[in-house]
Amino acid sequence: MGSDNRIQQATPVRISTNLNVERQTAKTDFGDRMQAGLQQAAGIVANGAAIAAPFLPGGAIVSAAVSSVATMGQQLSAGSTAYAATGVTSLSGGAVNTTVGSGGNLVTGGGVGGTVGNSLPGFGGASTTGGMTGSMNVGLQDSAGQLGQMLQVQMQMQKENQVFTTVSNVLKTRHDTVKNTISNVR
Amino acid sequence: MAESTSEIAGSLVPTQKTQARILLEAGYLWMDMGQFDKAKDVFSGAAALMPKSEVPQIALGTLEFAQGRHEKALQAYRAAQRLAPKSGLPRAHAGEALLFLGKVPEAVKELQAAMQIEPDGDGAKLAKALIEAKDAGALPPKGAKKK
Repeated sequence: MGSDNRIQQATPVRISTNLNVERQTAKTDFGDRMQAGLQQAAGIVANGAAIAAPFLPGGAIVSAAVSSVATMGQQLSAGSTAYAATGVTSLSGGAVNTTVGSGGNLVTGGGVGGTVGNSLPGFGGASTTGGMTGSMNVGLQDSAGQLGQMLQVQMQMQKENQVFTTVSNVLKTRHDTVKNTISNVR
Repeated sequence: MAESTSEIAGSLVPTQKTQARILLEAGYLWMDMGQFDKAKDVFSGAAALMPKSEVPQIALGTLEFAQGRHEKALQAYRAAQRLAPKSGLPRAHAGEALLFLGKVPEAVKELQAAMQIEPDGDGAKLAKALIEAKDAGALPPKGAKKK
């Protein structure tokens, strides 16, 4: 009965006094890393395409589409981490390339796709992509300037050609008129 | 020596068409060579020889026009127009002179009249070519005085 007495003795109540603290180590599970990577990639795509948009045909469409890509990245970062892996996989494979490709320019689609492909695996392609964007920007500016100058020269030449043609026609008609007049003098 | 009949209506002396052609051709040759005085002598002689024909008057107008004297050219073209009111060629030439004088609305009116008088004639062709040149911006020339 003694054991009974020992059992029935009032046991001291154990109260844990440890408070909840934030995680001390970096949270590096798959979902978090995928979310961060996609956000970075979407930002790079948005910046690059927004810079290139004014110099390309259908630039307004590309710019609008790319702004939606950036918004998508922000929405994903605010979303639940638990669904990050699944959602990110489908969106990174489909939405980014499809949306940017809707700009209707093969060069744009290829360039943006290449940027995403280079930056996604290592999540560290930002500086390299920035250099590419800068050189592309300079090249596009040069091309646009040369194209504008060529168009102006072409228009001037067409106008001059038209003037020469009409004046030549007048002179030829005058000559023919004089010839006919002399022949038909009566 | 048989007296030949004139092939040119109203000629001062009996004149064959071939002779008139050679005369006018000689005048145009002098003009193209820049010998304007000799060309004027020839055309004035042709005008005296064929007082009822508008062709020498047009030639005289062309000669003045070639020397840049558009007012005198217009006067000669008007004289030709009086001789042949149903011909579109003098009016087309008058429209050309008016264009070079900077009187564009009057020129256009003359050119349109030339096309209406003889739609298939040489005057209409010249008027059409002049209007096309005007629409292309070639006429009136930049130095033309607007009056």
